Amino acid sequence: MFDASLLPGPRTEGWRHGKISQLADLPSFSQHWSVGDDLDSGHGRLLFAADGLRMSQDMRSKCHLAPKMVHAEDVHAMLMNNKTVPQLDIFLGRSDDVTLDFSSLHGSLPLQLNITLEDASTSSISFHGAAADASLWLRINIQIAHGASLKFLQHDGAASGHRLFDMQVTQSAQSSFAFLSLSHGGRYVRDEITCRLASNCKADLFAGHHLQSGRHRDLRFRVDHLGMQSTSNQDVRCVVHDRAVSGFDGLIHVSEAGAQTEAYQESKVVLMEDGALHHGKPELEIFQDDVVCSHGAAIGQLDKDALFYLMSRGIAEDDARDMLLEAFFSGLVESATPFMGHVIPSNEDMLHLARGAA
Amino acid sequence: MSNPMLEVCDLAVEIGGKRIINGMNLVVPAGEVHAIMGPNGAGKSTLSYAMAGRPGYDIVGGDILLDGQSILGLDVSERAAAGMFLALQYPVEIPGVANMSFLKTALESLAKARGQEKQATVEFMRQVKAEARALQISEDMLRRPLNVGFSGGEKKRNEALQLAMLAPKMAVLDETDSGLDIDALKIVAEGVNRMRDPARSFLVITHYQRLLDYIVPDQVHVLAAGKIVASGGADLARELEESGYAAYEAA
Ligand SMILES: Nc1ncnc2c1ncn2[C@@H]1O[C@H](COP(=O)(O)OP(=O)(O)OP(=O)(O)O)[C@@H](O)[C@H]1O
Ligand SMILES: [Mg+2]
Repeated sequence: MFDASLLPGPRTEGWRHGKISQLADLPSFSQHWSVGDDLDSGHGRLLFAADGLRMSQDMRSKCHLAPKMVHAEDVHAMLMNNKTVPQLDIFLGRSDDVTLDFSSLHGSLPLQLNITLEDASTSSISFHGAAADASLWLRINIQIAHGASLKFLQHDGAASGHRLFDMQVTQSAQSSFAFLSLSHGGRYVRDEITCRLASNCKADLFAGHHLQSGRHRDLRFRVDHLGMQSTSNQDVRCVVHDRAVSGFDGLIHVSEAGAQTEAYQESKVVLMEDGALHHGKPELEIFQDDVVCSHGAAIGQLDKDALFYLMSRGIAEDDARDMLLEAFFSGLVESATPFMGHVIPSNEDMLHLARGAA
Repeated sequence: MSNPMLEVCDLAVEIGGKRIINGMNLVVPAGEVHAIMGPNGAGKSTLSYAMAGRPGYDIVGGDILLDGQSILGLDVSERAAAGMFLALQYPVEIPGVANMSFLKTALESLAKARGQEKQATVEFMRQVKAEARALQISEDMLRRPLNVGFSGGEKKRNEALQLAMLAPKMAVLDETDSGLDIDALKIVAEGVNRMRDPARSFLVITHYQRLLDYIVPDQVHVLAAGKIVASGGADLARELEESGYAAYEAA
């Protein structure tokens, strides 16, 4: 069974730079739970709780699905006996909004989601992270068919416990994928997002995290340009406090077939106190001459001139700091908004992120 | 003479262990406008930052009193709440913080620190629009991020707007005139003159006598090598315009 305590600690270098799939003992997948074959006009919410997977009422009614309840004992027993990971297949039709809500999960859950988007469809997925006492091992395979588009919001309402989030996105020609992640980190959080782009695709990846003391989060973006004329963008902003550990590995890979690729990557990191730690690893692997690629990584402290200026007008130090952090993250969300459409965090969520609350 | 609003007593200021202000004395009585002139690098901005409480400007001797109270124990925002205001020589650009909401937050913070009721939003809007109009600041500039992409002169007018809105007891203007065109200079000077009040004082740092034609000072001081080396009436500024600082720097 999935035992979070067996995971190496956050400061183990070898683990940090490896891939989940190399390091975790991937069980074979044998059993499937199909959520449905025709999720035509779904605005569903899947709730993942300690006692199993539940589909909420509105998912049932709107998606005409035969709901399946999976109980924790079943999951555990199955894992003990067969070493399998429960899988869930989700098919997204014309314009579906699906919520994957792990916020009521308190135990440990390994899960694989296989998500398929139909040709030319437009869908969105909102993911809510699990509670601080949960361990979540999540593998998400996404197939975006020709001309389809997916917006994915990954959003932690509070600090997580353990999370390994490994999302593999395979994009057919002329498809687009937009991703926005806002995180408070957790005891151990590693999020990996890999996009494989055929020709004329778009991938726009945005992420911000605010790690309070003692929290951890590693983020890895990998974008593979495997076809012609695709564009990608990675934009990451991190705020890290004393004794928190942050990481961002961003890779742009352009294969020989990736002529006329445009790919950009930028990360900005603010270290709030002396003991804050960030590992940054921007990487370009380019096997094609006809490309436009750039990357930039900036690490610094909160702008002291700006802090002085705000305070000199009477704004107390803590409030001035909050204002600057809000501005820092709102810049990220502003950049993401044209790509994320309606799938953007609320103002309250943004405030919550800026304050770095529990 | 009325009570002193600002008293700088035997002040010594260091930046990174380097002495910049050295045994400086200055008194600005309530209701008066004093000008400070002096060569580049004399320590004028250092003095103004030290008064505002900017970290890194270490006060290693002497005292600064605002309205009779030492402000050395107060941090930057507490000094603002006590009535100190500094219009910066180089206003800071802050992306992501809208000009108007910054002003509103500042006013609310000051009211809170002083235990006052906060101004109603309608009243704030009315006032900010009226002051902006008087300073020829467009509504677009009010909505934009604080100082971001503002021209040099627009930044200085925006400092003047903050001065008008925050209505401090003691306003220090560090080269607010530089970067302003002739019309804007008059507009800003008129703004300052409108604010002259028996309960408010100004310390105007400038290189140009021209500003002092519009804002007529009660006294002019020459700051050179970290201390006041000469004081006089408005005439002193005109003399300096002719003769320069050579006589003072040699001293
Ligand atoms: N951070 C710093 N580190 C070292 N020296 C500094 C620092 N800041 C200012 N100084 C020095 O302190 C001296 C006074 O500078 P200040 O900015 O106060 O001059 P000023 O009188 O305002 O000049 P100006 O008329 O050019 O504005 C200068 O010699 C300057 O180089
Ligand atoms: Mg100066």
